[in-house]
Amino acid sequence: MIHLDAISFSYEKQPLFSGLTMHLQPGHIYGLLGANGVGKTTLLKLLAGLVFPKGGTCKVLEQEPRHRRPSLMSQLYFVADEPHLPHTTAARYADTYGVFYPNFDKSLYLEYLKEFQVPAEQVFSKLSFGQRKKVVISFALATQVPLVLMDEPTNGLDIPSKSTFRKLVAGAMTDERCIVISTHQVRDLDSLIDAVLILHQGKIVYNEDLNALAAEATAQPNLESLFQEVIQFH
Amino acid sequence: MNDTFDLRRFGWYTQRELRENWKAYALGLVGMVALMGFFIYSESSKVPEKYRDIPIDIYPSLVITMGMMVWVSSGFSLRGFSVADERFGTLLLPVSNLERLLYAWLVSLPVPMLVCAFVWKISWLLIIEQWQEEFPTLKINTDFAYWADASYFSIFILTGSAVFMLGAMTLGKLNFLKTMGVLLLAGVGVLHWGQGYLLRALFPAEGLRYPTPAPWVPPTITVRSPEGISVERIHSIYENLYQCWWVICLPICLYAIVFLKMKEREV
Amino acid sequence: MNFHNQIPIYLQIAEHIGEQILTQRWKPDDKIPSIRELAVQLEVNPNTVQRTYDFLQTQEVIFTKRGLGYFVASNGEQNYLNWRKETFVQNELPIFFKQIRLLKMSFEELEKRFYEYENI
Repeated sequence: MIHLDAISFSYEKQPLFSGLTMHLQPGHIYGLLGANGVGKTTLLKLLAGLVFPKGGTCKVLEQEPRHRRPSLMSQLYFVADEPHLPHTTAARYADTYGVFYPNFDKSLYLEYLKEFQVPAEQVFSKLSFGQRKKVVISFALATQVPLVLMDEPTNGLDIPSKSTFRKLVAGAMTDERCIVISTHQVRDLDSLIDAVLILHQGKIVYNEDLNALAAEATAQPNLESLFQEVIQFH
Repeated sequence: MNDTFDLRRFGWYTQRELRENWKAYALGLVGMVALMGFFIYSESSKVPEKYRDIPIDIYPSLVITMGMMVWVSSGFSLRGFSVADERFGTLLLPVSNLERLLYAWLVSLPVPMLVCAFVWKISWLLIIEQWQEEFPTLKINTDFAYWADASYFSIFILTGSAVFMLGAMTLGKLNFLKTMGVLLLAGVGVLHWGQGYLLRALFPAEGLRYPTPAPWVPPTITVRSPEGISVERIHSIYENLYQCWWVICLPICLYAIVFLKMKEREV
Repeated sequence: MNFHNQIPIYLQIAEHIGEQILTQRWKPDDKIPSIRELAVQLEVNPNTVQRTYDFLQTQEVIFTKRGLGYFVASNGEQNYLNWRKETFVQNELPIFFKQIRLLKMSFEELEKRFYEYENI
């Protein structure tokens, strides 16, 4: 579904990725781990066509994201760390933006909002940061697009909301969908992530299916210690 | 689904833009009416007895208001690209660049022009009726010839719109003021001074006089030489074939640049 | 459900299901939650629950009827006991025995404590 080969990228002369290769399959929830500033958000932006690679090939759903063709953009959704929402209510937001996504289901959206306990008829300006995030997450899942990219989705959510988040994502997962979650708060998503990506020094140095790993080991790999281990050996 | 243009998708995009910007559009309309009112008010000073010989000029209010509205609208239409907060959402939206540009163009040119013309027509219709009732000998200038000079009109409005759109794409915050600044600099600075130096280089003569301000007053060159005096009005760069460039090609080039900037915009 | 790192998550889920079966909350031939329902309930990746169900099927603790879902096998309880006892003896018992030896507890004391526990 996603194929990045030898991607190079730099931000204002600062090289960020060089020779980055990554292949992702549908049907998994990928956790993208990495130190601060290593480029997790940038990698997600690359997949969404928000920034362009300087070298290498980037293919998402068999298209290059840089062209931003509507046929690709209507099949992916990006949940930013700090979502910007227009001045409207959650319900009207769905009416205006849902139409761009062919499989958007408004009843699903409203159901998610209810689970998150966000009032659908309240204007966004009166909602807290966490509530606004929950709206965007609900919308993202309700579009039912094959690829959902999330940048620190649990950042700003209270503990019950994190639990709801896990429930909703677990329930929304199918064999055709791929969710990539970039996170620092590994513990929030420990049981949800079934494949780990570690970004380190401009490359993806680790890409493993946790369920496959667990079969070989006798214990469940602790993601935090796994991360430390992998970083140390590079 | 057609990736270049889809009418349904364009309709949804228009709906989204209208829903999110209707307040600004309403404000624009209010501003337009206010501007028109200002022009009408300044013309009203010609109404009293002693100024009766000076005809009421209704056309400046149309052209200038239209020009201003088109410029402001052009700068505003692409705020999805100029406002940092909105760039993310703008670029993620599944619409094609052609659709974006088409909507921006429609809301910057034809719509403000039509609305402006309508408001102008109605306002003057009402006012003139009232004035002519009170002062039947009032003279009204109905000669559109001066203002109908398509080249200047086109540059002012068409090219001006394209310039402000380009400014919105490239200059970020406060792009309207920045673009105005660039235009003033180009108009006053470059064309005023630069023109002089260019002409001096082209026509080595004893003296050179050129009126100000450029660019809508074409320069008159008076060449005094031992053979005699010759006066030339450099009008030719705005006429005939050259007019095609100013009237059509230049704005199209600028719109094409805006389109390319859209394609290469990163966040 | 809180997960630990001693054994893979999918086995922890298997134990959770086993507990439901052993405590008679789920009886033989009862329909158990679908993969997705359990994933949502436990806040776990559905692929992991899939592994659990596949595993429990091979152990013949549960079985699937195409199109209808998953059910507790008629011998499910016994099969689960067999498997769980085996892992218990291999993993947890040695730790327990080591501790007993360290604390110098006798078997008699253990027996006494066990009956106390049973009576509570």
